[in-house]
Order: sequence, then C-alpha cells, then structure tokens
Amino acid sequence: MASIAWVAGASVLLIGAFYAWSIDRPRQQVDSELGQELRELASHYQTRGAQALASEVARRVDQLPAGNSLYLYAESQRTVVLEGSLESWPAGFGEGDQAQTIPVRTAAPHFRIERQIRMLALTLDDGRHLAVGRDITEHARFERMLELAAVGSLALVVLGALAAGLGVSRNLLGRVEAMRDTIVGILGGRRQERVPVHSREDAFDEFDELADQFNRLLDDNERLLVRMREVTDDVAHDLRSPLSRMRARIEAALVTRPGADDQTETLHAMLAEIDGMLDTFNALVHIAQIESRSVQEHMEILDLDEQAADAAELYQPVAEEAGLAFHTELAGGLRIRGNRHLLSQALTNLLDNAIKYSDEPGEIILESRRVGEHVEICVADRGPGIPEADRERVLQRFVRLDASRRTAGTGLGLSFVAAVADLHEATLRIEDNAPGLRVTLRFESV
Amino acid sequence: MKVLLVEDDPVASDYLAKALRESGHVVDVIEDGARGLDRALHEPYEALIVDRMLPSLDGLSLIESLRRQGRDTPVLIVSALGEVDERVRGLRAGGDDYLVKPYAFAELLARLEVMVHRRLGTPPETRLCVADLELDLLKRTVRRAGQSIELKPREFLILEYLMRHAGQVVTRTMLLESVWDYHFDPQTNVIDVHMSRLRQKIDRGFDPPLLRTVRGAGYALRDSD
Repeated sequence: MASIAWVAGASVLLIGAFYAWSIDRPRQQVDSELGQELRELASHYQTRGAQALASEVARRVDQLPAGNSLYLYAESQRTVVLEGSLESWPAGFGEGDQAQTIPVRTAAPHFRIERQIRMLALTLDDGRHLAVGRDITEHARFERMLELAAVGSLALVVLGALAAGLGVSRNLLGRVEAMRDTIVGILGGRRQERVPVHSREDAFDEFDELADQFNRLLDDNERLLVRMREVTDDVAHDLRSPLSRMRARIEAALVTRPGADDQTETLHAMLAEIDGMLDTFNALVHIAQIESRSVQEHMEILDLDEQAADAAELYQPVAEEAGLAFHTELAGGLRIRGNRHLLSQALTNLLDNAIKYSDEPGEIILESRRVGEHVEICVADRGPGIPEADRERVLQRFVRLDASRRTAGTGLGLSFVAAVADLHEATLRIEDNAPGLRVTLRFESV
Repeated sequence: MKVLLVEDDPVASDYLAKALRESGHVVDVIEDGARGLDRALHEPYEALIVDRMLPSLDGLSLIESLRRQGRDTPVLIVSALGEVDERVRGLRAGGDDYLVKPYAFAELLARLEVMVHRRLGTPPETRLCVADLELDLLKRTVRRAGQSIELKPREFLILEYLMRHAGQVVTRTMLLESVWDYHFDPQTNVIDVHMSRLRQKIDRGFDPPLLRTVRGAGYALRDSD
C-alpha cells in the first residue's frame, strides 16, 4: 500500500508542475500585456489630451483583427461607454491592480454569445475610466480542459495504482497460501505435494524461484527419507542373515553332546559372524560420517600418484596370486586437495573389487592422467563389468549384483567410494572397459 | 608385566583383566579417571590401558596429567571413537598406541607387548639380526646364512618391522599401520599375500623357518618356540 501512496504523490507533483507551466504562465503573460497597453494609452492621454485618447481608442477598436482585444473609455463605471468595443461597462468590473476575468455577453459582430474577458482598468486624472481587455475564452476553455485532464489522469493513476496494488497483494497472498497449503499437506502425510510453479519462462518470477527452491528442498528431503528407509531395511536384512545363522549354530550346539572341539568350532564361527557384522556397522558409520562432512578439515594438498603407488604396492601381489596381470601407469606429479586416509581407502576398495570380480586370466589396470584442469585416477578390470542399467544403483548401500552373494564383503565398498568422491567434489564414472569395468575418479587439479 | 587397566565398563574390564592374567600379566583395575591417575602416580606399572571415556577425569586428561608429572609409563588408549583425528588426538595427548573398540584380544595383547618393548628402548641400530637373518639398515641389504636376499622396498619395510619386534606377535593391522600408514582394514587379507611372499624369500631353503603365523593373531619372527 505504501507504494500506491508513492505513485499517487509523485503523480500529484507531476500534474501540479504541468498545470503551473501550461496555465499559470500564459495567464501572467496576458496580464502583463494588458498592463503595458493600459500604460501606453494613459501616456497618450497625458501628452495629447482626452480627445486624442478617445480617437486612439476608436482607432484601435476599428483596427481590431479577428478580435481578441477589447477597449473601453467611459465617463463612469455605470454610464454608457464613450468609446470602445462594448456599449456599456460590464457589471461587476472595477478598478484595481489585478486583472479580472469577466464574462461578457455581446452582440458585437465578432463576439458570439458569452466570452471570457480578462480586463484591467484605471481611472484617468479627469475621472474617466479606461479599460483594456483580452478575450481569453479559448484560454479558459483550454484551462478547463487541462484541469479536467489533470484531475482525470490523477484519478486514473490513483485508481490504477490501487487496482494494481490490490491485484499484486491478492496474487502474493495467493502464492503464500499455496505454499502454506503445501506445507500443511506435507505435514498431513501427503509428502508428494509440491508448490505450484509457473512453467512458462516469461511468467517465472521471484515467487516461482522461491517455490522452486522450496520444492527442491522437499525433493531432497524426500530422497533422504526414502534412502533412510531403504538403508534401514537393508541393515535389518543384512544383519538378520548372520544373526539367524548364529542362532541356528547355538541351538545345534545346545542339543548335541557337549564336546570341546565342537564348541570351539562354534565359537570361532560365531566370532567370524560378529566380526562381519561389526565391519558392516563400521563401514555404515564411516560412510555416514563422510556424508555429514565431519572430516572436511583434514583436507591437504597431496600427491595422487603417491597414494596410487602405495595402494598398487599393497595389491599387486594379491592380483598376481589370483592369476591376474597388474599394470600401473601413473602420470606423475598429479596433485589434488584431499584426505589421504579416505582416498587410500577408496583406492583399495576399487582395487579390491577389481580383483574380487576378475577371473583368471585377467588384468588389473591402475592409471592416472591429467585431463586439462583435472586429474583422473582409474581402476579397470576384465571381469564381467556392470550393465549400464545398474551403474547408478551399485553406488547405493548394500547393492551387490550377484544375488547369491558368493563374494565376501559388506556391499558398501562402492558406496564408500561414492561418498569419498562426493566429499572431494570429484566425479565418479563407471564405464564399460569392453570387456570389464572401468571406474574413474576425476578431481580438480591444484 | 604389571598393568593398570582404567576402564569403567565392568563387563569389559573383567573380561580383559581375566584374559591378560591368563597371558601371564598382573592386572589392577580402576573404574574412574581420577583414582586411576592417583594409582598410576603412586605405584610402578610397566603399562597402562586407559579407556577414553571415564567418569571424573577422561582418559586423555589422565594421560596429559601423567606426562606433565614426568611419568613416561607406556599408555595404550582404547576408545569407541575410531576416526583418524581421534587417534591423532590420543597420541598427541601422550598415548603410545590407540586401539578402537571393539577389538580382538590378540590385537590388544600384541600392541601392548610391542609398546612396552619399544619403550624399554633399543639403542639406535644399523643392523638387525634374528638367528642367521641379517638386515643392514644403511646398505638396505638382507642376508640369510651369508646369502644375499633380494627384497622389494615394501618387503624390506615389513621385514624391518618384524625384526625390530622379533619374538613378539605382530598383527596385520599393525603392519598396515606401520608399513603403509593405512588406518583401515582392507576387505581381503592382503597382508597374508605379502607375508607368504616374504616367507618364500627368507625361509625357503633355510632352516629353521623364522616367520611364523600365529593363529587368530598375526605373525611373529622368532628363532625357536
């Protein structure tokens, strides 16, 4: 509403200025012309006498062009005019310093019906009266038109501003209400609800931007919720299997005849199950910590090739024992900003997977290279690879593509790598090595 | 050796004290930090095992106090906090080693013994010997019974670590930490492959075998049982 007041105020000022310029100034000019002509005639009288003045007035009356001037020379203000454009002195017109606007009804040939005359009069030394006038009927009509236009446009502006303001505030209220309704809906359990956004680009405004951000926040929340539910389900599922196995073993141990060998065997097996479950828990907690960015402060500038070489030295013998050739091609001098421990673990996870899913005779390739402003580290194998449709999915927790789960591991290795990549603002690419799998991490170079 | 265990979880401390006693150690158990510090200052112990979270005085403050008062008794910190920065904080406070809960007892025992042995102090050596196996730290060479043995750089580091702790159990985790500076356990037993290669080089064709596998714990380099 304040903006409407501003618009109205500015309009009044503007229209006022326009009025002064287009109405006041011409009127002042008429008045000063009248004063000057009156002084001319008065000095004519003073130098040549009354008779000369009368003939001068008569001359000027006769000479009148299309007639916008008017002269009066009269004995008194109530008597018949001695000489002039009118037969009698107009009623209500007196003398003074100020010109007056007088309506005059006349039958004179060039005055039709009623005219608006601006008149100025003075009294001469002999007591006679002299007046000069100008027909300002057209002026006055123009003034009225201007006044009407000014008032009209002011009214229009105020009305327009008022209407626009109302419209905007109604629109605002509508948008806010839409947002509120969405929130109420979500709180009420309809979590898919979103705030409407204008899809057309020309109609997209700040409110749409806000709504868009709000919707993205909701999407993000929704995704997290879904992921959390999935992870909870997965954890429950992944822990139920070892727990059931342990339960079965204990039951079996209880019903069989107590024998030292049997019991030791059972205890060892259960220890192994528990260690497996602890590994799962630790890996989950670790991934969650990385995702929550609580290790951010330990980023340092480090030599990516050095990390790769360390990991290679750890895994080369393992690959060779598994009957796989191990090739390392490091560019050298690739430096990135990162967390040494997390990167090492991500690299060993990738090498571990590559070896685990390779069949003899295969090869493992670990290579690094510079690509423009980026550096890449890549682990490739000749194993079965990952079908394109599953490449996104394998990054999720607990996703193992071999349904039988014949391979060891928590099913969290690639999730860990994805979390580490995310922390380092690196991109993680999973590609076809034709045949095999190629996993690439791409970092900003420093 | 005589060990002070400062741990407020009675189940954990009972179990640990029992296992340590069975391994031939004398163990005192204290359940809170302030009394633990008091005991450590007034009685001679060869090692301390200190939990990080303790009532009245936390583990790290206990160790800092102990160090400020000039005691250099080796301290093994046990903690549920496993992040690398927590480990660094623990070592900075004056701890000698850091073990994350839950741990295998074999791991704790191996670390305890290595830690105490390290603290006893070995003079700076340029040559390490176990039986007829010799390792020259300056020339970076290894010989057994006079024969030169070619080792890769990492294998040399592994052997050096084993020889420095000859006769003691060294776990896979300890090797990953000291040789690779890796504070996590890779999913497969990568260390086993390295150890079998090392064994091929230093034990094959020689007698007696020096590199032993200690079941459920790790490895030990020793002359004879």
